[in-house]
Amino acid sequence: MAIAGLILGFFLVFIIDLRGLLRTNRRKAAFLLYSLLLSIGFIISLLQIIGKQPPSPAVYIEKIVSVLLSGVKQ
Amino acid sequence: MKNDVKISSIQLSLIMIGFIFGSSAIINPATGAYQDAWLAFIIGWFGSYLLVGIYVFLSLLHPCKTIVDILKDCFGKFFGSLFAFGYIFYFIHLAALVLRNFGEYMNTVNYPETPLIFLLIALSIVTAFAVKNGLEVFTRVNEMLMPFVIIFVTILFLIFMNIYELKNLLPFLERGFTPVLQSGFAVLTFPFGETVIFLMIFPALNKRENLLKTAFIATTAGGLILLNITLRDLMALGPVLINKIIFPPHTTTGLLPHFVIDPFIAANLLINGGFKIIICLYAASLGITQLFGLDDYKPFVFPITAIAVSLSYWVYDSLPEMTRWAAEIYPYYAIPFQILIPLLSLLISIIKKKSFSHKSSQSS
Repeated sequence: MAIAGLILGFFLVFIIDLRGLLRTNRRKAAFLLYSLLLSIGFIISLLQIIGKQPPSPAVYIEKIVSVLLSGVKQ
Repeated sequence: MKNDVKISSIQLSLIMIGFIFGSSAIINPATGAYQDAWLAFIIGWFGSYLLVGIYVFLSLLHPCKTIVDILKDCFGKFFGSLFAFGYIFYFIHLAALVLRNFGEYMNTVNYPETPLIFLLIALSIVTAFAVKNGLEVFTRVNEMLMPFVIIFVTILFLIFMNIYELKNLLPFLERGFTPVLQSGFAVLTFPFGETVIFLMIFPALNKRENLLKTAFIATTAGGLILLNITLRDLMALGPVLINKIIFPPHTTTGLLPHFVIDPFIAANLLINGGFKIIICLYAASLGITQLFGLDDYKPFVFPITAIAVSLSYWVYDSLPEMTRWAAEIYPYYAIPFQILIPLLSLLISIIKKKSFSHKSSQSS
């Protein structure tokens, strides 16, 4: 049910944006970028719904900050 | 670019004030300094003039250019685009963090039975449509709503006059100066340093000569509002409680049992938190459009909002995790975006400008 809702939501978003996309100066590039962004949003949402999301970016950012801070302290 | 909108100094100033206030309506980054939170706040606030000055001068050196174009000018096409991509991620991440703050507050205080994701989606739909309407429209709406926010903050400060305890501000510097400096730095990065996002909006100002004055007036007004909130919560709740609870303003409102004043806090959050998300989404959409040489940002607003919503739900497991990350990690994570890259860009811009004027004077 949740997955069907997600697909419907993203499809609606695409329909709403279609007119604007057709008006852009570089249509191919715009469609490509749009599809990429929408796919990222869709995949992250889908992985969250099925409970298989990878560690959040906050975890990686925290690791990088910790490594840099420990380097500074040493 | 199709996006040739212009906004007035007052509109820019008010939207900056709203942005600075933003989620600080519910979360105070200075609380780590306990009774010296007011001092930590003032240190962070005063330091922010330096940062805002850097952003303004950078914008003045590159008239009509956003940070995406400025980075390309300063670091070349490859590294400039790489840094610009980093900024776009930062803007989306910032939108996600504010969205999560908003959702957690509403979920904890107002709608405990409502699923968090529903609150996040509800707000994000409204903000996405606001971004789609354009900069001129949402700055005008902000112009109408900001006076109410200032009235709410003033009422909230005055209404607690009877319960303020000046002894809550003492003893002065009991834990030394280090926690004060740490909290001051946290204040500098959240919310003041986040005004780096205005490098996407400064080119839209109709009178460029007023930019520095406008930005400094906004920093002063935003700082005064937040100092007011810091002092109110500190004097009303005390240094220990303010450091232990997650949403001090909400707890403060509970001190007056016969009045229901929590909606004032929620309204402030709804207005300013909403506008902060709007600015983040606008900056990210406009940035990605400029990065790929497209002429209209509006079709990209919904996909970016979708990423921000899913990121806001994904980014933290829980409310305590969110506050810990915001206090311990965020100030360091923000350094490159708020301090290092803008400072480096300013230095490169000054050097380039000097060498260009030197060359042109030699050739003439």
